[in-house]
Amino acid sequence: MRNALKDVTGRLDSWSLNPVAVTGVSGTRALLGFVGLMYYVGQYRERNYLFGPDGVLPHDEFTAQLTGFSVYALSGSPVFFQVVYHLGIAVALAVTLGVGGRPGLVLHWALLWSVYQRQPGLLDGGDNLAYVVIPFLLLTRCYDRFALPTGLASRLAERVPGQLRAVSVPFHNLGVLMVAAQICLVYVVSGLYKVMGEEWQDGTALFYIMRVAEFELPGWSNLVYESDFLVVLGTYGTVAFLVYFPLGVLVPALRPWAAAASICFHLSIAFFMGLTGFALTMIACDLVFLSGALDRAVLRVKGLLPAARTPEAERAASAQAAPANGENGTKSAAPEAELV
Amino acid sequence: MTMAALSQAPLSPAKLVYGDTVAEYLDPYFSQNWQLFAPTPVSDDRGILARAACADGSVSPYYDVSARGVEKAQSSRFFPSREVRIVSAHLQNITSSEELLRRLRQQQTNDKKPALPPLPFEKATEAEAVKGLSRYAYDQMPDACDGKAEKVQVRMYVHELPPWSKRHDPTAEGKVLVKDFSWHKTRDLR
Repeated sequence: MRNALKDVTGRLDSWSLNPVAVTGVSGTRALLGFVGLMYYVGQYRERNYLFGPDGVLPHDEFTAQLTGFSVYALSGSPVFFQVVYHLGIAVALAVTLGVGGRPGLVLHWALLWSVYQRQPGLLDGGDNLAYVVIPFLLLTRCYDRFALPTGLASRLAERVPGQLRAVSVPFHNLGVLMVAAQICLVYVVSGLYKVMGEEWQDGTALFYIMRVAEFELPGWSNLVYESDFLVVLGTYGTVAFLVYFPLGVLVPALRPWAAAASICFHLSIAFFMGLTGFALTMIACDLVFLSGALDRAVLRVKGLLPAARTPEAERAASAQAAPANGENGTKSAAPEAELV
Repeated sequence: MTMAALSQAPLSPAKLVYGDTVAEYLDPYFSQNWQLFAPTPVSDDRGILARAACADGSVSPYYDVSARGVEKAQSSRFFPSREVRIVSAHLQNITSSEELLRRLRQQQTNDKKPALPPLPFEKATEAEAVKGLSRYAYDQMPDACDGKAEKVQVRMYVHELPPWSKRHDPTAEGKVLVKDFSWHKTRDLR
């Protein structure tokens, strides 16, 4: 009994002292920022028609059907539209590069939500996941890695009262947990709805989806849908993967495998169905399960780049290695919990 | 998180009782839908054609409005254009109905009873979607009637692709369902 209690308090201690998956969640932030950036850039040439006040959804009809807020609803002037759109690009770029910290992320969310609502017909599950998950990221230290150092954040952090800094770790861990729970919900729900469908049960769903022009890659999709074996394997494989994904991430030994399977699954969706933004958003959220692997990958890349072998980079590298594989963190590995 | 989970659950007694409350909490910023290609995967090509009526009373031939968007979507694998979704989103609003109403009508059809006619909000949704489609179609055919089209009419088609059982039959052609919507005056559109 006492042991069990010790175990619980030990876990609570570790939960409130050690931030988990810092590298993973930083990767989530960077990749989500990139997908957001590409939402603007990819449609840049069509922006006036798709999102502009005189475009396919005129400003008055847009404001009449708007749910929630949208910065674009504030004015029907074309100049205002251009300013907000370009501001959106700049802020998305800042999030991708890791500049601006969490206030920048809040602004990015607001502008992204605004442009999504400006033309809701264009949205898919990826955009839906992005606007749900970004608020969770605000709880986390998602700017600790993959970020251009400005020094501003650490100077600001020094001024934050100690009590507040102390709760930052549990909040970070809660945020990571929420991202993880959200992505599991996505997979399980989409898996269970598929189990209910006749075509998913008889193993032919992929045959139907891949022939629909909107989701077809001419010259390639037919290689899959003309093969009975690949259709059945792909259909059942999809359902099995989606339904069992949470079990895969619950068992630590299986976690990187489940995440790697998910990445392969979504890369093939991006290739065959042209859903790049959707696929990369899903992959971004999977990164919270791949924090250790990401740490090792970053180390390996740094080792390959001779230019990066400055004393500073070495120190950073060993600090990053600490959470992933303790034997490497002998040098200056400052305990992570002290960084804010 | 529990609320998010309930909002995504299939229609159930618990969802009938608590669903609306939960949706109110989540709407709009945490609303979500993860039925991605399920339970029934898309198995048809949907799109629109359109024709224009000129001032002299002549009517233009049908123009394939959807083709451009589809071509743009297929031409790239790196964040391809989403323009095709303007059409598919409107068609989705026209053809899909709420789960509860869908089941009710299904049951009425099975019992050979008259099906529930479209409700006022469903009619409003359809009218809005048809207007959006008409405007998009009008923008796509600037040359119709030498640029002076008076009215446009949208025709929706649903081409059901041949089923799996006919996959080796090169002559198999799926059914095509067509629906013409009412004419829209172009000055109401632009």
